Amino acid sequence: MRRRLPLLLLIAALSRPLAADIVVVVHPDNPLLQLAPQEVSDLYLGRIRATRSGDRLLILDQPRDSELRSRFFARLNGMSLRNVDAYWARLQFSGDSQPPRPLPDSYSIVNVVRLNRLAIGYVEAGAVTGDVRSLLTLKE
Amino acid sequence: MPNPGRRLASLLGLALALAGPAGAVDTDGDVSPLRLSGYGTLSYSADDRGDLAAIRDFTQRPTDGERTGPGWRLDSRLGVHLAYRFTPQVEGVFQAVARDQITHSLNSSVDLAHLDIQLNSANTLRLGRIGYAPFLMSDHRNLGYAYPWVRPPREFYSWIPIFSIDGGELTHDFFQGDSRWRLRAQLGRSAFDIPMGNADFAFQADRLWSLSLAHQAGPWRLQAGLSGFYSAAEAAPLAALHGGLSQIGSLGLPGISAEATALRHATAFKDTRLRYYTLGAAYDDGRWLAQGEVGYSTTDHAIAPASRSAYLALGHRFGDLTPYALFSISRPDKAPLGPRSDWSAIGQGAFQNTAYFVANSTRQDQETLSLGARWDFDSRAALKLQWDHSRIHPQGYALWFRSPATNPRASSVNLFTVSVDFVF
Repeated sequence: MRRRLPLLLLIAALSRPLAADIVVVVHPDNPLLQLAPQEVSDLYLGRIRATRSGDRLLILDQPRDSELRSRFFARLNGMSLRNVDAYWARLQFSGDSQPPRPLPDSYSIVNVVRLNRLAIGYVEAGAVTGDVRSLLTLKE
Repeated sequence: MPNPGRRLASLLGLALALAGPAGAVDTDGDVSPLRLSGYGTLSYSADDRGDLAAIRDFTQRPTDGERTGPGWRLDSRLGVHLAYRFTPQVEGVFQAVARDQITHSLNSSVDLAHLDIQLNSANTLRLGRIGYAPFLMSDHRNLGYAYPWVRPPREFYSWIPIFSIDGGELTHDFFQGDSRWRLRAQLGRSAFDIPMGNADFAFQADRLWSLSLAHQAGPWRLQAGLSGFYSAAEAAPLAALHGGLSQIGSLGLPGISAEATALRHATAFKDTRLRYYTLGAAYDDGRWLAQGEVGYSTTDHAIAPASRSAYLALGHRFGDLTPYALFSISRPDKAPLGPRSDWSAIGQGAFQNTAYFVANSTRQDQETLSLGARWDFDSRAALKLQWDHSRIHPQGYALWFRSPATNPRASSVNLFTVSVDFVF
């Protein structure tokens, strides 16, 4: 048992999000329980907009030209911000759906997510607090 | 005739009543329910012909007819977009676009004004003024920022005069593995003004419907669509022509009267039925992009445009620069109408020529090769340069303002455009 402890600690340390990891977070009562990267991509590209009951999710985004947003889409679906923005322009101005709402920083996103059952956002692992639930971690 | 503005307001009122009282279940913190955004195109174009002037769609009239020279009006536009989240199920959307049209009013400038109601995870209902959606680009034709080229291919899109519908739309989304399908049904009507010489024709598309099925998987986007409507009103600017044809038709002149009656039918807009059929595909893997559509339209009166159209575009991104090539073609469904007898015998030769000019005026028989490049010099703006070389066949000049003398012969024209597209 004593020999196994360092190994378990190592595994625990490796499985904890690193500061550079990106974590998708929701309110603890959000009906979404777990999401695959493809499903998060569908959410952030407007292909999924609502829960099963028809409540439209409040999808939050980092600032438009931020480095975190660039890393998020690159890891999630390989899209550049230019492609993401052109894609959303078509959906938004055709009246199809509204793009995720940009907030100033991760602190603002966590603050809205902890207050809103339907909000979903992504932040650096270091910004995650106990008030929100992690749905997916995109590793560095 | 019902007032379009009042009809739009009553549709929105009904939709608001269906949506129920607004009231947030959760607090949105710093997130405002209102969003304001917009887009625009600043464009300058010039052609090498003094007797032709291009139109982007049938609601435009060049300032000086076929003699109109280089200018800003062909493609420039500015759109303002508002969205308001009433509840987690209901959003309101409003969009007004300033662009070159013969009529400039609030009603003609509003492209979107609807409530977007999420019925459940798969179904959405939209009520009010909604974007017309059977074609790949028909609901974002004004948004130059969303496509690489300067304007939607004229051979394919210019003959579709409908930008939006006053009515409703139901969409159903379903997934199959990683791909998404969307079935969309629209019903309503549309009204807009079309220039006829120096007069305006208040066109009304009634019993307007469309059905489309879209598929999205990875870099692919596919869409099949069909749509139909009836022209509810007769063209007032053609009243004198119709009166004269009816009169000659009632004279009982051998050959001539039957021809006049046939021309009266051919030039009638009222109760004309139009149908559109289309199939399109778009590919964009971040480096290569391609897009193509084939379309077919039918009508039961010669004066309404009926044609087979297609285009194919190919481009490649080199960083911020995207050179592209685009070929588009339109062929009329029927041969041009021509005289069957000589009306100069009754002193009406000129009138007969005018009647045939009108009957053939919406024929589109041309093809265009376009070469250009898009430079994304900013994350929200792009500069585009495009050269179009069009070859127009006799009696196929519908996409140009021209004099009757130009109509019978084939010709070609070069159109150069520089534009800046932006979003905000």
